[in-house]
Amino acid sequence: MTTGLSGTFAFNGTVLSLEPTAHGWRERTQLGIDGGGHPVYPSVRSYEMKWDLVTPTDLNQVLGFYNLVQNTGTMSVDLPEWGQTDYRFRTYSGTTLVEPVMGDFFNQHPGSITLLILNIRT
Amino acid sequence: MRLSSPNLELLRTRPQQTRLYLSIFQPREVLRAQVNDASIAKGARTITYDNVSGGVFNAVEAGMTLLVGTSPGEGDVGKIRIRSATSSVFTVSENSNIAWANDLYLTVLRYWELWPVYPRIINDPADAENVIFYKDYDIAYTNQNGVLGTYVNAGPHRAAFRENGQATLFYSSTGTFNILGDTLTYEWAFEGGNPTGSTSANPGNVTYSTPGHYVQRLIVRGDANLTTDTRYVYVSIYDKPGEGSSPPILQWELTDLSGSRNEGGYQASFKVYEDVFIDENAVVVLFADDWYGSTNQSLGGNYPNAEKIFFVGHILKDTIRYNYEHSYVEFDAASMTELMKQALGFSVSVESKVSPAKWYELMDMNGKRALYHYLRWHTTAMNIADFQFVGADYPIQFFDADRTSMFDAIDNFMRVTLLGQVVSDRQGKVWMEVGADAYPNPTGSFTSVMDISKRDWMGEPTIEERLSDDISYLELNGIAYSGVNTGTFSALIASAPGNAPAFRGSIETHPGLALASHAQLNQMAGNVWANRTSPYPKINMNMAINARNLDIAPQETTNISILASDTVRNLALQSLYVPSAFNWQYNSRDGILLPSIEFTNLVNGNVGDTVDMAESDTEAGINTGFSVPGLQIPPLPLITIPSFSVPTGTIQAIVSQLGGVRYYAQVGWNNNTFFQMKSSVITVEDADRTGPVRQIVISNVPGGIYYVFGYVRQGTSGGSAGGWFTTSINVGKQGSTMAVGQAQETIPSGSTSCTLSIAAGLLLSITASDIIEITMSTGASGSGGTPQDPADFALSVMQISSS
Repeated sequence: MTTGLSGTFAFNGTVLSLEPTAHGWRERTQLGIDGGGHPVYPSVRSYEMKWDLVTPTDLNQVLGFYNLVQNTGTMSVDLPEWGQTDYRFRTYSGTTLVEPVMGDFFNQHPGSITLLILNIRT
Repeated sequence: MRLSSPNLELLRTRPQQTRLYLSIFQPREVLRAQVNDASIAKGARTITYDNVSGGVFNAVEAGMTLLVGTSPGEGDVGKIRIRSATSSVFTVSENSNIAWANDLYLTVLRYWELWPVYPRIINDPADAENVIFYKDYDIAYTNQNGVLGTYVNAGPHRAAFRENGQATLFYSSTGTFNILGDTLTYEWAFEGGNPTGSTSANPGNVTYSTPGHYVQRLIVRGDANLTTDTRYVYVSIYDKPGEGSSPPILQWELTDLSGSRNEGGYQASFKVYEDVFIDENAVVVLFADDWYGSTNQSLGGNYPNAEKIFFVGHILKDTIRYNYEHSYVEFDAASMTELMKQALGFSVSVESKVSPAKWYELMDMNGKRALYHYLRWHTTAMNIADFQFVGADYPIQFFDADRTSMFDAIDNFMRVTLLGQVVSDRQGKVWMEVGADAYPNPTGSFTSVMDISKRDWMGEPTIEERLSDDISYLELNGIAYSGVNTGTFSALIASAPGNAPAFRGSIETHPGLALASHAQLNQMAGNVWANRTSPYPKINMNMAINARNLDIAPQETTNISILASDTVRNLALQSLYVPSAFNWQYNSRDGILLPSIEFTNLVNGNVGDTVDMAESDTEAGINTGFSVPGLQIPPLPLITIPSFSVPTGTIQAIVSQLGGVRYYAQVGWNNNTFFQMKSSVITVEDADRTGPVRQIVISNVPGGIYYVFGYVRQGTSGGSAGGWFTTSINVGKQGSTMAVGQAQETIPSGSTSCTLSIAAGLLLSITASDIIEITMSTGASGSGGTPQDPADFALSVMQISSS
């Protein structure tokens, strides 16, 4: 992993044309509690991005990122770094993408877009 | 396996991530041709071919797989093992299941798989009472069972990624074992690798720079090259996803992976969403990238430097299923042992000999040798998997395997003879192990490889508790055989807990063990009973770590420590436990690979008791422990003459026929006298005294064998020349002249009596319709002799057997 540009989401070095409306690190699924009372977590995290409304061009870019890797490949993604005291970005490699989910159109604009990024080693 | 302390701590570092990758070995074709024999028929073993459309015949090696199909490259008609090849003929193994026909397509794959190898027995043309044994149809016995070979170990089938342009794999012959302790030579061939070969026992690292599927080969030879054993290892080299054009299978799912010692290995279920060649018996490898915290390192696996190889299996026949709606194929892959369960072998019997001269004789046999013979000459299993025997071994006189699966043949032998099992580990090596509880000191022989405490499990462990004994009395018995050179046997029986059973539970016996001594057997019985009755026999845990260092084989122990505060049961427990079953859960999204493990308790027991047997005969210093009972000839039945009662009136009537002779007749019976008559005086009435003078008729005589003897005394001297007195015995209908016996005696001069020669006895065979007619007559012999009336006579007719 390398320290990337601050304030810029990027996929394989390509900057997002439209920043997500909401985004953040998602809670890791707890696998169980060990005998000492400590939760057991997976080592990877996930990051979710949401857009309320996008242009078809913006949507097409997000879909394009997914199509690059689809079911088999991995992606380097620049995201706000996990566990830092300030808002900075970091490049995480080896991530996988879940196919973007799209909601209803509103006035010819795709709405409620959600992109989930998985397998992020922090 | 035992990890170093730093690695053991790394194993416990969380969070953990495992990324599994799926490889299915794709064998390449070495030759394509067609059958060229219009008269080929069922059972053909020599297949003439032509129309070679790819490859060369000298790339064909013995043991390769030949596909037979109706179109090029297909095996829809069947597949068979190649024995040899020339430029125009394949010789294949014995078969009856292939419908051979001219112009069928033949495809030779550079692939060795599991086959049974059949024996053949024919009548000896030179000796109608003899038979000749062959292995694999035509391999005659020369000296194979006297120059025993090698269990060759070359490591698991494997797969790897190129990194920075090359993949690096490690090779070692660790675990290789020659039966006779020969000095071995090694010949490695690394197809696709660098170096391309080696003659070292442990070549070390070999690099591969080109993705592909390769066959590695290790040939091990014994002293003077008298034995040759070959092992093939399949290697698949890939590009990492996104880093090249040769990635492994990427769209797939592991739906289940579990295994146990009882099952003898592992079985996994897969779904594959890609178009990939899948065939039964194909080698499947799951290889891994692991992270423990931020450390990218793999741990575990029994083969050195093969930690990334997580599972090796073979696709099971009849499990390949296509889901055309959702475009995936699903199949099961399992350990070599599971594959061996599906292949049937012929029955095998072998006897230990000093100098074996037949296929059914084996030199100074013990367990390792018997198993080697079976695997080497009745299967091809040792060509494609490592086999290793672990534990104490003893001489045995006979090895018998039923006509059963290959797995059952060797597993049953281990279980019955050595209280052992045959189990495959996750990487595909087959361990033939004496059970830990059968060791003289189980807990001392298996020191813990890992302490397990509460930080290692999730939730609460499930502790099985045995509230009463399952077995109250265990009896083990077998033979301590000294070996073929000295050939002594001792039959041994031991009981546990002792001669007095426990108070609850069933009785169990285990006969047929190969043993060393009574001390060994007694301790074994005690240990086995203690392990079968331990109070906390099993613990099940969901692990919080991937515990890749543990496996179902070879046997190893962990020291499990449960504090009273660790469970709601408030139970404190610390003991050695053997991992005996695994169920792996793989979450590919989060990279989680965690097992649920069943652990089985291992304890030491108190020594059992000798069960005394009756002293056995010794002969020439040989303790014949088991003596063959002598041939017991049943006693001959007593000859019993049934009592028979002749009506007195009948006798009197007979007597009255004597015509007024002054006599007395005595009729009496004892157990064996049918008729007895005694007369004191018989008056001779005939003038010439030469003819019959009296006849006695005995009628109503039961059929049977009769003994007749008589005594006659003449009242006066026979004169100067004596007189003769004749009594003839006639048997037949009354009046018949048939004579079956006649006796004549001459009463010597000066004597007054003699015994009729019939006194020596005359045997008469009487049927029920016969009438014994006894005729007496007197006559003179010599000159001057004067026949005299007999003074008295006695005649006995005794039945000695009935008809």
